[in-house]
Amino acid sequence: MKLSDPIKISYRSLTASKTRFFLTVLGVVIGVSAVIMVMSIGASAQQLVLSQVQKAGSNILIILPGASEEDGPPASAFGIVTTTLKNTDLKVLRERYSAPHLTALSGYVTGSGTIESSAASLSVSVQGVSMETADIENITLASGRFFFTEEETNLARVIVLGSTRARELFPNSDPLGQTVTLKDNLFTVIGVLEERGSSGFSNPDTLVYVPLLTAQKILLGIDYLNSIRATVDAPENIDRTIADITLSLRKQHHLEEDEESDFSVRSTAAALDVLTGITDVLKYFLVAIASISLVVGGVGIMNSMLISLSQRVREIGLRKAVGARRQHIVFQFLIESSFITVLGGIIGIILGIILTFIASLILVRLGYEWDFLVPPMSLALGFFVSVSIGIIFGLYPALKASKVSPMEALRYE
Amino acid sequence: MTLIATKNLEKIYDNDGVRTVGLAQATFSIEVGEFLAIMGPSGSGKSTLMQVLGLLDRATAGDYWLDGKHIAEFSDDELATLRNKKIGFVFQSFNLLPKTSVSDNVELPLLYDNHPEKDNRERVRSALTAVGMQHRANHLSNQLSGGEKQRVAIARALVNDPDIIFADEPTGNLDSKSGLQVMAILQKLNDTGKTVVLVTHETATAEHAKRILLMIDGKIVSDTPVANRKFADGNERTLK
Repeated sequence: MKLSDPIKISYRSLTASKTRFFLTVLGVVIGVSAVIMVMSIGASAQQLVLSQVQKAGSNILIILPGASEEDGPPASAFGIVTTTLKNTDLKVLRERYSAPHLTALSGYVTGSGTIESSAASLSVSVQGVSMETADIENITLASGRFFFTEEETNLARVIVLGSTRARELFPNSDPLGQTVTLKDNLFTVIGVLEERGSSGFSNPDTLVYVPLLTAQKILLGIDYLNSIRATVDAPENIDRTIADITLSLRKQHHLEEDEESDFSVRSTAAALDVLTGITDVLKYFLVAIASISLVVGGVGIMNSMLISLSQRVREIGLRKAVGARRQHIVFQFLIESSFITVLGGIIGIILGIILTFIASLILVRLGYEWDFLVPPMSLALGFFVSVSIGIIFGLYPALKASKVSPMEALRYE
Repeated sequence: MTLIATKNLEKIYDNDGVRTVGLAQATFSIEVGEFLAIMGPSGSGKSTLMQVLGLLDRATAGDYWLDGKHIAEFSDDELATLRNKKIGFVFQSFNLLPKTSVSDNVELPLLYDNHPEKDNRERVRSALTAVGMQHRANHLSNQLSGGEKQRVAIARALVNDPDIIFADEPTGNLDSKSGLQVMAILQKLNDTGKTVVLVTHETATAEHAKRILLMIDGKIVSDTPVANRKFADGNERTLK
């Protein structure tokens, strides 16, 4: 028996039942293209999330109140109020010697409330921040200015509006110099942010900013900070600065040596790692789901091969009668099922790439900074998984077929 | 020269404890170049005998030598190879692969043997010529009439140049004219030296053979030469 003969035999029997062949291949095509699409779109989505975090700056440190495990976030990250971070901490860190590599530092408090102008009344998130926030978050203003230092210390009632909020509150006029009411207090609009689009998990366009102390004393009535953000002069000084901050704050908080810190210092680089971890898990979860469709495709192959077997018992009997050995029959069935998966795999890869491309076009149209990515890994995975599925799911029908007795050829119908 | 020899060949079917004798104590031999008809009513064991002789099934007892080889010692795969090289089958229901061309059908046994591709084409062509079907080589098997299908099936049985051809009721599904054509081909093949074993329940068909083995209830009840042999092509010829 020559190598080309089983291929010839398989090709002939596959093309003899075209509809079934087409449907079985379709099952594999859907499975493979689903895996490729999910992997590609997952990779692009991960890229999108990570690039947004990176856009915020990779040399940013975040100090959160409350202790935390080495790798996990502190409780305050889940919205649990912890009051261990005070304005005095901010003051200590501002003193150069405590953390010499810090370049900018800002306390953050957040609250929500109703903001009213002559034209509209909206529920908004309010950020109470220091003036350095503009540097830390790379905030640029479309018009007006950010806070002055004096406005921070003398409880000035000034407000900077996110671009969306500015439009909503003052649809027909220039907001600068106008007044809005926030929690029954009059604020003067001193600046409007440039439109930024969503970044990470927040959208600065929909926020309003007031000076830190104003937010604490007048709007929220609190004396603690939700977080402190700081920038470090160079990435290689991040670890050292984390140590500096920890040391200064522990001293400030009068913590004994064996006491746990009641705050946590995190860098965006670490956050990036955490996010990469999370998005990886999500990505592989999606791939696992998409792989189910490959398994379904495999079951389709098995089903098709079993139907084919029951329709071809006489044919197999005849093949054995004219001299086919068991291995010939096993081989024939395996080649048939592998041929289906190889063909389905190739078409599935092409279709998967095309669909991913179309999806990325649509997402770009919707305003996302979406990259068209097809990880080579997904192609290899889609192809090899489908071929091995063809062999695995083809094996049972093949072995079953090889057991058909040559006497079947003699059965009269 | 003896092609087939059997001694006390026996086949007992055991279906859930119910024992049926398919073949009992068959002892006989077939010489090279013979044209033997195994005849008998349905259930007489003639098909069982053919299956055992054709290596499609194994006897439960007794001995069978094909071309001097003791068959009981061969594995299933070895039997497959023996069937491929030494035996050609013609079935009542033709058993052609549907939606497959005539020449591909005839080529089938060659795919399970080592022949160069070019050699295969030549063999297919000469086998089809031998049955007068060379003009239909590229037709699909399902486009043929019953008689034509059976002639293609004979070409398939011939293509590996076997020592012996087993024909199981080859005229059973055919009209009398096509049946005669098929018998004429089998007789012609026998004339060229091929051993032919024909299984039939019709005396008229059996009389085309040179020798008739009559079976009833699994036993060979008579083994006689044909006195007035019929010739399907109308040409009388003397027994060799």
